[in-house]
Amino acid sequence: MDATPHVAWDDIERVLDQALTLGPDDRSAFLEQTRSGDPALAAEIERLLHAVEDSNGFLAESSLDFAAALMARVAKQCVLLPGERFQNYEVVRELGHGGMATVYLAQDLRHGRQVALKVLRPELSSSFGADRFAREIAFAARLNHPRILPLHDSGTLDLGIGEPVLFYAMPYVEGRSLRDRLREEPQLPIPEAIRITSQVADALDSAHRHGVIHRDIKPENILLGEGGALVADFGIAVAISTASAGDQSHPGWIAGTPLYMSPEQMSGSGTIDGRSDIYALGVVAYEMLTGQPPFAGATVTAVLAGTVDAAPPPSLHALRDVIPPAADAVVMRALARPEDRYPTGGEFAEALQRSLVVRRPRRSAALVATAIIALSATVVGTTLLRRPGAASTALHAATGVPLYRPHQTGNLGAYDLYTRGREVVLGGTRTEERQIQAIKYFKQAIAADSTYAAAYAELAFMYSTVGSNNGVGDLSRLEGIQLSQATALKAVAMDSTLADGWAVLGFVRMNSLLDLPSAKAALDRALALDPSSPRVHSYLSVWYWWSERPRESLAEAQRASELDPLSVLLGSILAGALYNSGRYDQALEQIGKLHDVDPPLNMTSMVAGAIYLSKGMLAEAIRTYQKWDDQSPWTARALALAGRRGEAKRMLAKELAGYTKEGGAFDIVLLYDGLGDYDQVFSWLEKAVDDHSLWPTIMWPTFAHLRADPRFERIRQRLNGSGIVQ
Amino acid sequence: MEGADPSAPGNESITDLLVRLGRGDGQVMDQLYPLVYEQLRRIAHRRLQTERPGHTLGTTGLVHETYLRLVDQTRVEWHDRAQFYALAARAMRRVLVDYARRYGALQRGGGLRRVPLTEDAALSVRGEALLALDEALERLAGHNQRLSQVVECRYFAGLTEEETAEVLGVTTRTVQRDWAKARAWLYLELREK
Repeated sequence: MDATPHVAWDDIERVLDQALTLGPDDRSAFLEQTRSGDPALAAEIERLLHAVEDSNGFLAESSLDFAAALMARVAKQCVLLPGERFQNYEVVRELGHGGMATVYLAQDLRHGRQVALKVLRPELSSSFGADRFAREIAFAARLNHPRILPLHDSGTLDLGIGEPVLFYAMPYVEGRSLRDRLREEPQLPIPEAIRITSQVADALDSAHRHGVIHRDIKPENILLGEGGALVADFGIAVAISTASAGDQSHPGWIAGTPLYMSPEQMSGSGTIDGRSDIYALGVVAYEMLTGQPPFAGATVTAVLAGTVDAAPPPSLHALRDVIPPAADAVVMRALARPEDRYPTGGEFAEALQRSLVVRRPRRSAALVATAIIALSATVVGTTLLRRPGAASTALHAATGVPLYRPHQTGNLGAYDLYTRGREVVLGGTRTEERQIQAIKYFKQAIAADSTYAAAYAELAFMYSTVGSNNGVGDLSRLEGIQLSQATALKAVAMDSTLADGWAVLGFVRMNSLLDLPSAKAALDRALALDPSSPRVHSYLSVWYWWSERPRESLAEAQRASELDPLSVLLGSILAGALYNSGRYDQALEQIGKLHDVDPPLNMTSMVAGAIYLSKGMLAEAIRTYQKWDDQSPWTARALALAGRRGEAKRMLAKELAGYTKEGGAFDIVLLYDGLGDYDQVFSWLEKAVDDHSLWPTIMWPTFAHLRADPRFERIRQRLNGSGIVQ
Repeated sequence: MEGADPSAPGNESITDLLVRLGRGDGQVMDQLYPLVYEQLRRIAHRRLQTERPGHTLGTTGLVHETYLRLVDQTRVEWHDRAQFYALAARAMRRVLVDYARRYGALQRGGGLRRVPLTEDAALSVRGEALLALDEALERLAGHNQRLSQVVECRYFAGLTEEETAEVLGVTTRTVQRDWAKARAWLYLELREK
């Protein structure tokens, strides 16, 4: 704030100069005179004159001593300021600091790119020579792997302050470190933890094959960029240890971070090899899953000091009950003695994934309900939600495809786009916007790697959901169907061993093309390729709906649910299969568990409404449907069955007036059925086959009366391969 | 080139630039200033290293030494020298401000764990005060450039009143009065914070 806001400074200074030349008596008279002419000016002059007295000692000492103290202090560190330039770098800002270095974001002026510039602490820099450091670091710099952050540059930095220090430069990764992520959410969602573990394992395995050990794996060194996890600082810890090995001034220097350091590394005895990194990865995995590292800091120090033996850490299951006890054995094996550990990161990551995902007994409905889903083309706008209390529980694919499925592309960008697409599909209610977004990602993934079979498979699946939604974005329902078929075929052409490709092709053939024999062939092939895919089993269950084989449908649904107990979608398919088998009460019980999700999935509401109809509980059925969507033809049908025919008639008139092949005939089937006009029902059923809008729900008990009619036989024949135009 | 530091890079150009500045070539200011800044800082560090353990920049003026080391005095006029001092005083202010910022960054970065707290607390308070002073001085210069130059010469470069008068080409009495006015104004300005 300006001390003299109202009076012009030139006036003030002129009058002040005069006052300062006067003795005390003359000054009072002078001020008196000024006051009568310009009171504001006089007040300001008086204030300043007082300040002249008061500020007698102010700034009396020159700043040089302070400057000396400050410079001496700062010289012990190496601090770069924004805008500062050295060599070919211009500092943008500080990003963070660790035990060994401070990290800056800098612009590499020579190459026109941003880099993360790491400046080693002066005491480290001085303990070994730049040449030696450069030699050591060059070894790691030769690593070339998409998940290993490469080294751009290293050298000596002399700011003219204190001693020169060592620095190295790596690409700047937009995003954050795993440490930042853990601060935000200490217990990561299980698929995310698995994905990160296996991505880091990829990097470690590759480096180990080239004889390079990281020695300092920890959340700070795992960066989460657009393409997933990247391991930073490869070779730095080794370079520091080696380069300072002969240095007597820091004889006990251990590069690494105690909480993540293997016992053999900490004790400094014996050979350190890749298994030390596996140990550290085990610690990181433990922390991602439970929110805390297995050993507390004090324990580490005590172990290091030899005062205690390491007690086993708390079980993962005890810290987070959704983690099955089986995962404990896997993580503990990573933390075991070197000879007992997993020999590679890949084996550890795979075992971890298996222990967390497969064959888990269902624990409680609440847990099951935390999972999310998107279903088959039979479900429109499937809802996905996470229960707030269990936000970190795994997100699972409706389709049974884990987010963290190993990728079949060497192109990191493509893989990233694929993963993002999956996250959009699984991460929220399937709105039109999300569908468009997911389609965009999968298309981009394919643009980045035109041979990426898994991306074709998921794109095909998304196209088939376009078909179920009466169009999405620019795509019409029928275009979606055509594209889904063509894209699924491409997926299997790109990789005929990809189970998901065949599964999606089977899905498209049964639900969009209404061609059950060819669908079954594709699904069988998918099953042979991956017998434990929950996605494949869930599709088979739906195929058995179509085929009016409820016993087999139930077996497949149960198998799918066992394989992926967290999936609400699979749970609702199971409810449908129970309903189809005539086990109405068991089906309702199953739905009761699923209703922990709010709002319930579309699939769940459709099954529940149908069960109540089949049980003759019309009021309950209407309530269920209305709660879900009072504009749905299902709701109108239930109302009509209860004698309230007005809504069904109104809706029918509208549907008939607007009917095109594009819109689909199945809604009209539902309405005529509610109104009891069976001639029309069968006529429109034919049209629903023609325009590919028929749903497998037609095989539910609530339509048993239609299927008992001889006219339905023609529909069956058409579904089984006669008369579908593809 | 007696007294000049032959190892100091750019000392020729500093002299050349100063001569050009004296001939009225104001454009060289942008080139000259960073050179003076850099050399001043290096000389300050050299002094610190040779005069340990007291952490002092010495009682004789840092700016004098910088001038003697950097400038070939046989080639510059009297008023070139005055220009150099004014420039060096401003550079010294910038050096100190930069150090205060570095120090602030260090503290925020948490890199000071192993240092006695009291030393850091005192430096920290003074560092922040210095940054506030720097900003206030900028505003004061908006009122009257010369008042801020007086502060640069007296406070940042440690010049005497007489030296300051010589550098700024005014009488000693004027420097005394400017110094009093500047301090009073800054005092009020900073007190209100």
